[in-house]
Amino acid sequence: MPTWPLRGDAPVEDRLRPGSRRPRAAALAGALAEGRPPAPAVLLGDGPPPTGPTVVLRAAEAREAGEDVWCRIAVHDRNRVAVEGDLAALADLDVAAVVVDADPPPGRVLDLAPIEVARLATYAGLVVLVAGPVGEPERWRRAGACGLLVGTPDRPRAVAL
Amino acid sequence: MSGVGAVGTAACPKRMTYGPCGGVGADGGCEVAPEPCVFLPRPLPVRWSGDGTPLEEPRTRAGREVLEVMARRPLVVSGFPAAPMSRDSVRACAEALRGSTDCVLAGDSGRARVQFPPAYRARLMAAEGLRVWSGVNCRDRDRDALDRELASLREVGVAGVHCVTGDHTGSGDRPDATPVFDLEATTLLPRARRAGLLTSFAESPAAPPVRHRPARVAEKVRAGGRLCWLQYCGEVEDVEAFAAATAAAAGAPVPVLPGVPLVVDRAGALLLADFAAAVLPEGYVERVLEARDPEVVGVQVAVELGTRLLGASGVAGVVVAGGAGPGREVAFARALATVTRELGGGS
Repeated sequence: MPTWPLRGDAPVEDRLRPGSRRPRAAALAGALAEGRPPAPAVLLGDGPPPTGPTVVLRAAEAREAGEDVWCRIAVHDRNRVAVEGDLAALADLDVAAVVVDADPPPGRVLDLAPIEVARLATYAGLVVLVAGPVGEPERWRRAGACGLLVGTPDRPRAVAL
Repeated sequence: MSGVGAVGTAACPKRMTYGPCGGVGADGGCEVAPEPCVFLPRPLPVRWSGDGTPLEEPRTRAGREVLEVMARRPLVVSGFPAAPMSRDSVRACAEALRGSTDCVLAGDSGRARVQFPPAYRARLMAAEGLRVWSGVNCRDRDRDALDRELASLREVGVAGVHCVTGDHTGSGDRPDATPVFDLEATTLLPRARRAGLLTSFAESPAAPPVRHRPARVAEKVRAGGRLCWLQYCGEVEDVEAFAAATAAAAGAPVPVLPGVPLVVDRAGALLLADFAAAVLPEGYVERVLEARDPEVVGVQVAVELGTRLLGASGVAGVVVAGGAGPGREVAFARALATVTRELGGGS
């Protein structure tokens, strides 16, 4: 179990530009809030190294093909500057949601706690779905998370948090 | 006497094995820690200790096109001043530069804490018709994440990748971020080559230990570096001397591309002043800032310097770059385009 260096609830206004929700994210947030089933989406993540593409590139290609996309964001191999860049790109692409692992795999870089990623993603205008053991849902809600990822990798679904 | 790879490196804040980096101060001080660079007392250069795995030729069309350009004339590269995380700014700056330059370097920005990730930014730029040379640093991602970026850059079809270790997070505006430095420029280069990408790397001829810098270039070439992009290092004669020393150290000419700073306003001059180990030709910035129309004179002096550098011995091209005040990105891109076109770029 990694020990995440929690950094409290510091404001993030100086880190990312605030973004308002774009159409796909707004539609997903609305569906979750009203208890409706969200539109079908593909769940993407980083490809395996050394030849797998980044989740952002995969998302760009899927969005170009007209698909609704949910992206699993990695935090164990990059620092917060890289994570912020990824989130900005995913917001730019109008991905419907980012999926934050509540219990991410251990890695070389332990820069951001999952709940901080949720907060940053929300700030960037993204809808956050949490995967894995949520623990204290209210804490995630305060960070802006909207839903839980359920279903299977091939048929992902989301329910309200 | 020289060192062999993997000398003790624990004390380098950037965890470098193949140091010293270009951030060594004129007094030999570390760019981060309040003490001398740990490499200065060691036997230098640190020899590349790679496994000898064959390196790849570039597999992107843009990479092959760049090599074709270099076979017939010097390469003219431009910086890319687009505002960070702005698709609209990418589009507008690309429109200003399209057709005027051989390729466009998308590197770290002196003013941007966060950028779109390299492959995504390259994709946006390539979609606008630019041949992209993408900067990748080792500060923000570990080897797995870097490998994915390299694979993605190849998929996007970039011309090449500029491999840098990167500034320490403690020396810029990212103090809250963990400095990763799982790799460094020298160990990133062979990975980029094996991903099928044309490579470049940076060297700072004016940074201590000055006499060991040419041999460090030779080691980066052995690791997989193809083009050496120079930090501003003074007069044209200084560039020629460094190119000659580098060829002697490597046993063959190394394609050297010195920088041509484009300064059109005071904000750009201040940005330039922040560069570690940058030495400009005598009176270069003063001539611009004291002019009635700094933009016109800035372009003029950049063209003059670029023209002289392109005629210098051992120079394989130039990299024209710089910055301007916030909100002036497109105007600066137009100024860059004027300079690179005058120097023969895009032809």
